[in-house]
Amino acid sequence: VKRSDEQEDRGLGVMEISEEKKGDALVLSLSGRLDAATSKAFQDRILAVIDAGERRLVVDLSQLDYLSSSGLRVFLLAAQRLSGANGKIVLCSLMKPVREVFDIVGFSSLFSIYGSADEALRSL
Amino acid sequence: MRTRIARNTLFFRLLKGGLALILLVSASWYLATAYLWARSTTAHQIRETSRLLQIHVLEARRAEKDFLLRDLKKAGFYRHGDTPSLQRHRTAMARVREDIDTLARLTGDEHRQELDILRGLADQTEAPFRELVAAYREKGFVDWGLEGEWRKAAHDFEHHLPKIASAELETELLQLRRHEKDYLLRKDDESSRAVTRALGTLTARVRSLADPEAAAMLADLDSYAAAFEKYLAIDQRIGMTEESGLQGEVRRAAHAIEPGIERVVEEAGRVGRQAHREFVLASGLILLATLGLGGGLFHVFSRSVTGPLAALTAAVVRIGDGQLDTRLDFPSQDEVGVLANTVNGMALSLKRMIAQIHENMERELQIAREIQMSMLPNIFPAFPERREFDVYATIAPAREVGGDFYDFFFVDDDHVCLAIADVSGKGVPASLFMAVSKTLLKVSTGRGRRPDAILTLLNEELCRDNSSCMFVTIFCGVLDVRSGQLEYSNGGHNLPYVLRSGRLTRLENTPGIALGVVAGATYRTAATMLEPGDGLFLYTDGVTEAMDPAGEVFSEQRLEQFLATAQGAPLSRIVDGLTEEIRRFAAGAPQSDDITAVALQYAGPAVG
Repeated sequence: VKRSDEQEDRGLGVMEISEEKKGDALVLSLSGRLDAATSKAFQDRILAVIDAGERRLVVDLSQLDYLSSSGLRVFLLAAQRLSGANGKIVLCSLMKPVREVFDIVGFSSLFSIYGSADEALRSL
Repeated sequence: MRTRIARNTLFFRLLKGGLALILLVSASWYLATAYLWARSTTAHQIRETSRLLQIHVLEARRAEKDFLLRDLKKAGFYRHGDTPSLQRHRTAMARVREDIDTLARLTGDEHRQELDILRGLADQTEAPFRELVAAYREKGFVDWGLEGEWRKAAHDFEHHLPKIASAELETELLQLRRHEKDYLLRKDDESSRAVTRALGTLTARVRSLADPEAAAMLADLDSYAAAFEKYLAIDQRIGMTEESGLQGEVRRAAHAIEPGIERVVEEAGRVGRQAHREFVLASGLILLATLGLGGGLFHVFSRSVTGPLAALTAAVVRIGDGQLDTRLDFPSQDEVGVLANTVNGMALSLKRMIAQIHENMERELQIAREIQMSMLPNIFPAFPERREFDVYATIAPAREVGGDFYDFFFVDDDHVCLAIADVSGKGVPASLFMAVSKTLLKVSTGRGRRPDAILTLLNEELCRDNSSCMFVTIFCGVLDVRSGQLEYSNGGHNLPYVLRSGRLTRLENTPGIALGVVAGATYRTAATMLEPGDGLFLYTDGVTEAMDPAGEVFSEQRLEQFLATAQGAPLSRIVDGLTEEIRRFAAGAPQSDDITAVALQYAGPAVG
């Protein structure tokens, strides 16, 4: 029996998401790898908090080692949902490889990106 | 599967177990309580009986007293020989015996000896009393019994006196009567001797008489003497004081029985208290034992029911986790056994179905892969009739289908369009978006259209109704094969390398966002000149981000190293060599992204 895609994906990415409410903003901190395997979990989580009424999102990527195009797509989805609901998503503390991905794909201009979570919170 | 519910079904076991439990618990309760009840009842009866015994003994004593104090002065006793007091005494004594018998029966062998002694003592009080009663009756009173005889003799004698008319005789008779009274009052030897003496004097006086009456008078005196003698004897038997004779016997026996009775009462109290203590203790023990027994049985019983269920649950969880080879082995034919068999069947069916689904899916994916691969130019040399350049490409999707693509085609006789792209994500969704992107790319190109215009057009099309937020990074170049000028525009893709005489450089970026994201986004075109012999290497991030088992990525550094050493080799050797290098690097780690590489070498304008 061929291994299922799920099993295959499970072996690849490990990512953890933590939440912290700061004022009316929610800070989501990602750590590990955001790739094809883990982006589904991130997508479910971020869409869930948006559905729950969160309108000010800060995504802290200081612990994120790797970002694939699947992960980028989740940021796009979240931004699209929030812009339709008068909300905003900002990113902060990107590590160099992750920042490069944003730069190459051209998403740096699409998202507000800050050096620290405090800066990001002040911007909201 | 035929469902057979046998007699040993769970229901039957529940029923049997439950009934057995209830029967056992209630039987033990019943027996224990009945035993305790009997014990405490016996103790109660012993106490009651001992009190009754005490009362009956007292009643007998009272009847005795009543008899002695009242009945002795009544004619009824002497006439009939019986009185209510005597009846009461008999009844009381009979009851005393009954009580003793009852106690013997209740206490069993434990106190037999003491009770036998007590029975003996009861006999000892009654026998002398009967004798005493008989003696009193014999003794008589006023006109009855010995006293009657005695008195009659005295009266008969007195009748003779008027005929005699002797003053001495009368005086002596009065003396006798006075001593007689003294004796009756004092009951002592002195007064009895005085009577005898007076009688002797009187007898002598009568003998001295020469009178025909004298013989009859002597006979009367003899009768008197005989009666008095008997009277004395019976008085002796009865006892002159309370301590002597039958009176004394009765009294002593009564005293003797008292401590025995007291002991019995005391013992009965002790038995009662002990029984009470035992009852409390045993009730508690029985309660605990019953709880323990019931709990133990319930535990054993419930384990026998829930044990297999727990095993079954664990097995079903394993099956749910995908271990479809899990098999349950329950020999029982009860509901659990039947369920286990059903679960076995289910696991087998699931395995078959999943295998079937996999097979179908793989077949379809295989077809999809063939379609997708056939969309990409994969016959090399691609343009055998063109000498100006050579191109070689390879693609290795992470799954059956992928989101990467490349393309090259002539826009007109002298311009070849070259593109490489990477759709976000992978698998079927990415492959569909890839098919759309690739098709739209082709229709977006046109004679004389610059790469930025191509990307702008393509972006507009891709942004339309892109609710899934899929996007594609794309590098698009148009090479003028006559001059070697490469015009290009980049939509968020990794920049290609230029390989020129041993040196490796990247093309300058034309910043632009990935396609399908921002409607109305604009792109820029840059240009570079390729010299004959120059190479161009395009790739997707599946190359640089291929991972080894430790999670380290292949990286741009390794890519550049490889390209530097491979420069000058035929394009197919470079590209296939790279994929081989990556496979070696991954060392069996699963491929996470599609790997695509395109190499182009410009040979210079065609001659003639």
